[in-house]
Amino acid sequence: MLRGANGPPRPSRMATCQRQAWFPVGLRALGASWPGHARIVFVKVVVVVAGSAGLGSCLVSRHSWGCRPSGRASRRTRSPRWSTPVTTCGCTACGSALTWTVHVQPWAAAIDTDRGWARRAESWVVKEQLAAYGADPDWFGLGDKDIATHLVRSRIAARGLPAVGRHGGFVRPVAARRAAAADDRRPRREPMSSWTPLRVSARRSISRSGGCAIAPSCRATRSCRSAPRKRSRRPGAGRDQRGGRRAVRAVEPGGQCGHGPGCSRYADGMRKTDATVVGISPINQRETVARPWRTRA
Amino acid sequence: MADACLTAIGVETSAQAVGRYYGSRRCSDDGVIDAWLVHTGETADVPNVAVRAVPLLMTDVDATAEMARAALEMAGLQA
Repeated sequence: MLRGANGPPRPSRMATCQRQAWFPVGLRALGASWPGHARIVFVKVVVVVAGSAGLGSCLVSRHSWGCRPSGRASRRTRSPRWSTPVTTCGCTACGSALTWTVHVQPWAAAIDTDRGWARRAESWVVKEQLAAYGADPDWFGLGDKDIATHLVRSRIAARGLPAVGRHGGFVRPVAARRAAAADDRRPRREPMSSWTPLRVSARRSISRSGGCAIAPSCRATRSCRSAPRKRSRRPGAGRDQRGGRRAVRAVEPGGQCGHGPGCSRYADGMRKTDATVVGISPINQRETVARPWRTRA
Repeated sequence: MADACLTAIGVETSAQAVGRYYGSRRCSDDGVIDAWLVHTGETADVPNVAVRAVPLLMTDVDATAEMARAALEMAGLQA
């Protein structure tokens, strides 16, 4: 757990929401005294970010331990709902439905800027019908257009196609159309119910090292005020790493679909962990996510 | 989006109401948080939960990093 003055070991791999970070701590604080030796040791800490595995979690994760190159996306980084791991800004995450919506369509045309979330001219027939069946989902109810988005994403995921390019840029809409045209009626190799959220699987690691867990909650109300507004600019379409960074900036005002503590598996992991769980309020002076949009200069 | 989600589950749109909805892990088996970061200017009284007000708007990289740093400090870590 403790290391000498040689510094922290280089992490071999980075997961979406878990990272073993090394924090320098004075020996005096640890109750130790080694005269003539280094005064700094490193304490291993595990930080878990519990979110919807969208870019909100991705950004908080990144700034919790600095931006590092990510390894290959693994099963553990997949969202139980949206399934497609993306790599951007040095982190691997799973974009939410809204994240995906933003990147497969011109930004200005996709989002209802008055409401601050969901699509423009959205309808809610599917959601109403679900309620009529008494099958209202426990996750956030999507609009009709986002249901279509989800179907496209599911087909892409079922075919094993990546949602992002090699350098973090998202796929172009034409690729999405090709994937959506595929027949996805064959059985899925792994049912969604078998996926274990990373936050829960990391519980044992936390208890050993005494780290902390951060729950970003719904970050919609903490979003950025500087969204690109030009229709011609497709976020994340660049061929280099700058594309990934643009994508992150562009998706800032969008928020995410649902939030970690609202998911029963995440909440269960947060209840059971031995780590300190820090929640981040989604409320900004009783205003909704639409407020930053309206007040933007 | 937050107010839409909260209205649907019958929770007031305030930092305090959301914090109490999550609940303290110390006094309830259903609680999920130990500490609660609220936006500057907000107040929240959540039983058995440490509350701290810091800027939560992720307006740029520095602001986001500062928010994450505050969260780590709430957990007793120095980032």
